[in-house]
Amino acid sequence: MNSVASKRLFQEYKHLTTDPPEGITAGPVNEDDLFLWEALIQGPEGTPYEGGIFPAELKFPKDYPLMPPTMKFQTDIWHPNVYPNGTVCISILHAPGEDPNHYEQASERWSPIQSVEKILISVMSMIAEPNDESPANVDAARMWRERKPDFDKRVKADVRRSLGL
Amino acid sequence: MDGSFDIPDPSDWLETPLKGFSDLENALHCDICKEFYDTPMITSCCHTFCSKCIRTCLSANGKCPSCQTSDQASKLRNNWVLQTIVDQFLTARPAALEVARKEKVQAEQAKKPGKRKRAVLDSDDIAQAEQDGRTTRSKSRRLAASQTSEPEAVEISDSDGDEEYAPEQQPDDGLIECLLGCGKRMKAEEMGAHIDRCEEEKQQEQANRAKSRTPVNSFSSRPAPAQNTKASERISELSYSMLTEAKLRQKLRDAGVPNWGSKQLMIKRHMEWVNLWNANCDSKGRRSRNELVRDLDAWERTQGGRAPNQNGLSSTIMRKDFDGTGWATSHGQDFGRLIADAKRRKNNPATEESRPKDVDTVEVAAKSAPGPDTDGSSILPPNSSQTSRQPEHNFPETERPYENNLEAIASIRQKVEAANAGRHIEPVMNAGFDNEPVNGETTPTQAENPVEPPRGAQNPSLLGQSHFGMSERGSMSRHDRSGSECELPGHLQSSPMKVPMFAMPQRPISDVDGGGDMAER
Repeated sequence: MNSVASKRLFQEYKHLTTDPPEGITAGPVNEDDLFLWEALIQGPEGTPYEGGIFPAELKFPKDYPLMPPTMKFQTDIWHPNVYPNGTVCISILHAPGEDPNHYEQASERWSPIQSVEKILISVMSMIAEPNDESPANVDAARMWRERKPDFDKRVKADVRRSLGL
Repeated sequence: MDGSFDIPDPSDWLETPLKGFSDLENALHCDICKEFYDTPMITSCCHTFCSKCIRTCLSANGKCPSCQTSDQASKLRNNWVLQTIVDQFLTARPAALEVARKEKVQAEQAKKPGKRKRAVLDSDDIAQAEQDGRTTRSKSRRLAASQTSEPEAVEISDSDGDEEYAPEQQPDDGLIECLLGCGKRMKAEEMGAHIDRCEEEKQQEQANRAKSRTPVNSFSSRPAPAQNTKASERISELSYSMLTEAKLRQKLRDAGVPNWGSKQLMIKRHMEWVNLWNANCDSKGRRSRNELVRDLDAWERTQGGRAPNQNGLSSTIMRKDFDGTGWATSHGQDFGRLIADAKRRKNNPATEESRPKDVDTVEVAAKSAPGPDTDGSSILPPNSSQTSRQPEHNFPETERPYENNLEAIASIRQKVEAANAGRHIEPVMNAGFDNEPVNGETTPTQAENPVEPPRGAQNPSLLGQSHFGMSERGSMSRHDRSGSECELPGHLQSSPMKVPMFAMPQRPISDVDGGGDMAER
């Protein structure tokens, strides 16, 4: 059984294994099921997330690449654009079309020409530079805007805890 | 990376001196499927994608995936030049990659202290290749040509076909070559006759060559007038919202496409069929209708009506976040009961023994989590209540097995109300049964007791331990009733058989705490 989606996912998997971007590892949890991936993202250097490793789960729809996958962090990550349950809120993961709130342009949203690699790179840059215009975690966004030192402290503590230090 | 099953990937080039080819190959990939272009089509916004890819995208949201400009499938045009480039690249690729990889090996060997190969190779070229990591084609050809051990490398670099033709030295055999230059050699006296023939042959040959050359640069595959007429074979999408379900079904049947399923599914299937069909019309190597039907079937199995399940995850794989321990804890009771049941049945295969147990399990199921299965052999749904508290009973019961039986529901409600009224007695009853380890392996529920005759004889002593008259009397009276019949072995079979299915809960619920008696009074 070889659908368009699984063919393309295999292609992307192969590409990510042979030529992975720095700080990112990703692949299917089980090679029998290409629609469920696990990704590891390194905390970008020069940010409070530095040194942390953030595992995330990517779920692909049957009609991928027409529709985007969903991404959910498996650890606690205190970030304005990550929901408290770990779901990532970033424009590239939003289904094609216009944003009803006009926060983001259609060109920023998902389109079949995007890829897992681009998603993960976008998420990495999102971690480095939060977008507090439409926060997923309002508390984190407010903390980030108003009490940056506290925010950094909390994130660093989380990172240390996740590493078992 | 070697092997016959090797899938071409741009990263193949990264480990060779021809690193630039990686980007070249990436440029020949469709942005949607990330594979080599297959029948590239150019959109009205001048972006290029595989025919099938862009058709699928446009039918999904009508916009170019690259620039989000609205576009229509009917405006797509073939990009034949790109098709030719991809085809030729794919033909040349394996050999080119082989050369590039060999070159790397050679370069590495040259770096070694021995430097055996340096004598053979042009040292300047090698040094340059090492320096900038990439080589021009002419350089690589020179390199290849200098490697006397690899004659095939020379052939490969000639594959662009514009090399000068070096005629061989004419053998001195007394024959004359054709004056018209067809290359044939003959005796002088045959020449006159040959020239006449040769003229014709040459003309024919030219015509042939014009035909045979075209596959190389693919002019013949360009949609000549003949292909343009074929373009009319393309089918258009229907205005689905205007069609009724029955009409759509009819259209699908007319197209020879499966027409089962909901309207939504039929729309999706028809769109897929239109895309498959039209993409086939675009391509130069037409496939048969049967192959298209097979493709549609593959779609059906992966994304259509026969797809594994809704979220695209196969059902054989356990969810990663599945709470195994939680499930085990919440269903431990059921598992224990099933295991005990199985053991008991194995030990006492006699029907007399197993029958009452069946009743037993039915009642347990009815009490804790009523399901449609009466043998209790299936695992209960995860959300079913595990406690035997009264208020939780009536929801699942009214929802499922007695759904269609108003009489039973009414009866159950009545009993439940009655039971609720006297619920305070329940825990003490439980305590009484806990003291009695007769039925240790099954869940001790009050309901089991009166219906299970084998324990009838033990009941008086058991009930003697409880200290409230009402329930004692209630149970006693019931026990007395069954107790008298209990002497008859036949009763063990007949009693459970006589009770209709929907009435089953009447007994356990009324028995729970003597509520039934209360209601009677």
